[in-house]
Formats: sequence, structure tokens, C-alpha cells
Amino acid sequence: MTQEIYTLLKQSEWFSNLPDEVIHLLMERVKTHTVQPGEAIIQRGQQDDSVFMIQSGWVKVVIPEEGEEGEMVLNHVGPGEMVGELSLVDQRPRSASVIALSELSVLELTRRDFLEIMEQYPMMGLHMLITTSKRMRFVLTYLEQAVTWSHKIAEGDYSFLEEEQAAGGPGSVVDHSASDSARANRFLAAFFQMAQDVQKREAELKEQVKKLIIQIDSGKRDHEIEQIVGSDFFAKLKLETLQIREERDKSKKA
Amino acid sequence: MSKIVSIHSFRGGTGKSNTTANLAAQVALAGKRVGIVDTDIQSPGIHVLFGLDGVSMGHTLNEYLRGEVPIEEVAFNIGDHTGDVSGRVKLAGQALYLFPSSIKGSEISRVLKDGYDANKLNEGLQDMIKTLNLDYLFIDTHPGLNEETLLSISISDILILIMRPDNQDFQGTAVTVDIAKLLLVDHLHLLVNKALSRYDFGHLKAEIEGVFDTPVAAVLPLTEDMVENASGDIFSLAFPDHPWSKGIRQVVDTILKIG
Ligand SMILES: Nc1ncnc2c1ncn2[C@@H]1O[C@H](COP(=O)(O)OP(=O)(O)OP(=O)(O)O)[C@@H](O)[C@H]1O
Ligand SMILES: [Mg+2]
Repeated sequence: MTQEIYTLLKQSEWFSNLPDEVIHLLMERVKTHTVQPGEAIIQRGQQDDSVFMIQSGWVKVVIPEEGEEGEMVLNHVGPGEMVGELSLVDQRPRSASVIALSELSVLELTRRDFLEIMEQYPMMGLHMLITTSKRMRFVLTYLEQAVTWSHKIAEGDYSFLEEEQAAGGPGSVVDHSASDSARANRFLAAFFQMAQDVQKREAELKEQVKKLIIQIDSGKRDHEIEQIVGSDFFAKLKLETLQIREERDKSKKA
Repeated sequence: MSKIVSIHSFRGGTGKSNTTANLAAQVALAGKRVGIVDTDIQSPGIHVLFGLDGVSMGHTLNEYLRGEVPIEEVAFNIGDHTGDVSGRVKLAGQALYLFPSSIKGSEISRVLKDGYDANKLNEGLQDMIKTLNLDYLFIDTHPGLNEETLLSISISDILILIMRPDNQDFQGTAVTVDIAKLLLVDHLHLLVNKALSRYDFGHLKAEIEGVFDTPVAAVLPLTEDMVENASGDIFSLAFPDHPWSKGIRQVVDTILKIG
């Protein structure tokens, strides 16, 4: 068990490259939890500030949709990776929920313990920064693509949906690896699904326009025309119009 | 040859006055001599778009129709009185004349009671064209198919019939299209205004052209920006890059090509 935790910490993004002293300090402080599938280790909005490291199993990072069953999946995270580092740093309420996808073993490190160790070993802070920067890059990759697509959606141009699918894009691949682009792709798959829904809804609404247009009651129309055309005024007007036009045509020729 | 362009719709509130003002302003900007007549004597409105009120508009069409003043005293030269709003100032120096209708309650009830002489109006229009040497005379009409409207349809060279893509407008527009054809209007065009953005404009155009057997000059979007403008300015001059303004210029091209 202890050996396992040691290996895990040594291989983790945050703590690899740190001297064994630090790893041992960490091993004294972390608490191990076992979590059942479907259980949350972090609840959005909650005011706690531990960071968790996945030992085994997978979690999803989600934003629950208000008042609905649905949720927006932001990320999938697996062994050796951290979750909850934002609240550890800024102490603000949790920005997303983290839910176990399989049986989970996680290590918890409290903010207090983390700060105490960091006081002795400031290098730990630098490693944390490096990891956070990597996450930022992943978010930027995602944002760049999402913004490009959003512009297209705004212009009513959905051609990218087909192109992406033909190229085996985010609508089709399921790559569970932890590379930034694989992660961005999983994240983008949710956006992609949304774009497909928007396109479908737009197509349905356009369909309604067709139905709107064809309703002209021709019997009623003929009756209304009859009433106007049958009046004395109309007969006189028509005659005068003809005269005016004839004169105009004459003057054109002259 | 000068051209009379009537802007009409079967139902009210379709955007006739705004369209008339914008088309006329754009044609004037293209260097043509342009007049605008408000024949909606029952509920005049177009003067507002040019920043006029009951006092500043001076003599009106009502007085001319009663034989009280000559037509040149009714003409209000917009090019000389643009006001300082961002769109209208662009009209400075252009030959754009408005022939306003009175907005005085007493004048309006007088017309409603006595009616007005359609022949006199016809004479007046010819008079305007001749006196001011106009290339184009735009007529902003009263909705429906009353006698004055039928007259303005019958004397127009170009009739722009505005409709909203809405069931309420289809029936009346169909009747009006047939009447215009019976009156042998040379150039009849539909103009769709207030189209919701969820419509596919290209499809809408094709569908309406098919059903009414009449060309659609443009499909103009419903836009909050227009409501915000609160009729305080000529929209297509103030916001030239707006989709509504681009649609208006499409119609202007159609009109100028006919001319
Ligand atoms: N495309 C548009 N999008 C949003 N609002 C519009 C649009 N076109 C016109 N409007 C608004 O609709 C209202 C009616 O416009 P307007 O006065 O030009 O219509 P009208 O046909 O002349 O009306 P009436 O029949 O009363 O004379 C105005 O408030 C105007 O700002
Ligand atoms: Mg009007």
C-alpha cells in the first residue's frame, strides 16, 4: 500500500521530480478514500479546499444544469491526475462537480497540509504552476475551436459538422488518453453535440415557415377581388389608367 | 422619363413609411431628383422620419388639395434642412422634397368627413413632378384598398407591395397583387419586411415568389435596432452596414435599373 502511494506520487504531475523527503512528508499527510461509482468527491458550489489525486479509476468533471437532469461534461480524469486544485489555490467555492465513473481510490491533501509542506519546499509550488499551465493550454485549445465553431453557427454555416465527422473529429472519436488534444476533443464532443442540436432545431423551424406560407383561401380572394373590380370607381379608374398609359406611350414615341 | 413609385401594403404597420423614406433617401443620394408624398392623409407618419413636426412642416397637401396653395409651397426641401442626426446629414445638398400631410386633428377629420378628390390628387402628383423636375416620386400610402389607394396603384410605374411573412398578411396581399395586375402596373414587386431571423431568407423569397407569382425585391429582417432607432432618423443612412440597410439598397438597385 505505502509503496503504491509512493509510486503514484513519484509519477504524478505535481510531485514527480521532488526529493524523496517531500514525498515522504506527503505520504504522512494524505488520506486515502474509496468512492463508489456515481458518488461525488467534489460538489459544485461547496466551500472546501482539499485537492484530490486519483489513484485508480476514472472521474468526470461536470457542471450540473440548473433544475434539470442534464449536465455538461467538462473533462474526464484518470489515475495520477489531480482534481480540485482551483479551490486549493483561491479558496473560492467549487466550480464543478467531480463524480466517480468507476470504483475509485483517491488521495486527499488538505490546503493546510499543502501550505505547510510548500513553506519548506517552495519547488512544489512551481510544479503545481507547471501543471496548471498545461491545463490552461488545454482550455485554450478547446476555446479556440469552440469560438471558431460558434462564429460559424452564428453565420448559419454548419458545414463544419460534416467536415469534422468525415475527418473522424470530436463527434466520432473516443480517445481516453490523457494527452491535451485528446482531452480537448472529449470536451469538444459535448460542444459538437450541441451544434448538431442547434442545426436540427433550425431545420425544424424553417420547415414551419413552409407551412405558414401556403395558406391563401382562393375562394375568399376571388370574392374580394370581385367586389372591388365590380365597383363603378374601379371601372372608371381602369379606363382612365388606360388613357394615361396610352398618352404616355405616345409621348415616349414622339 | 420620371417614375412614380408607390409603396403599399394591405395591412397597416408593415413598414411602408420607413421603407418609403429609406428608398427615397437612397435614390436621392444616388444623385436623382426625388419627391415623397404622404398620401396617408388619415394617419400621416413619414414626416417624423425627417424630423418634422406640425409646425416645421409648413403648408400641407391638404391645403393644396383644397386649392389654397400652389404645390411648390407644400414641398419641403430635406436637402436644405437635414437636422443634425447622423443619418440625415448625409442628405445635405441633395434634391429630396417631402410633400407632407397635415397632422392637425381638425384637418384629418375634415378629410375623413369630406373625402378628397382623387383626380385632384392625380393632378397634384403630375404638378409636383413637373414643377420640381423630379426623376422619381415616391408615394407612401394608406393601407388597404380604398379609392385613394387604388388610384395611387393605378398611376404608379413601380409598385412595391410590402408584406410580413405572417399568415395575417397573405390573404390581403394576394388580393392586392391581383388588383395591381388588373390595373396593369408595369413593375410590380413584393418586399418582405419584418422577417424573423429563424427564417431561411432565400427559401422564403422563392416560396413567396412562387405563391404570388411576383418577384420579391428583397427580404428585410425584423430588427430590434430599428425599434431602437425610434423613427428618429433614416435607418439605412445611419446604419449603412446593417442587413436591413443592405436589403434596402438591393431594392434601390432594382428601382434604378427600371428607371
Ligand atoms: N424590419 C423592421 N424591424 C423592426 N421594426 C420595424 C421594421 N420595419 C418597421 N418597423 C417598425 O414598425 C413600425 C411601423 O413602421 P412604419 O410606420 O414604417 O409602418 P407603416 O406601414 O407605414 O405603418 P402605418 O400602416 O401605420 O402607416 C414602426 O415602429 C417601425 O419602427
Ligand atoms: Mg405609414
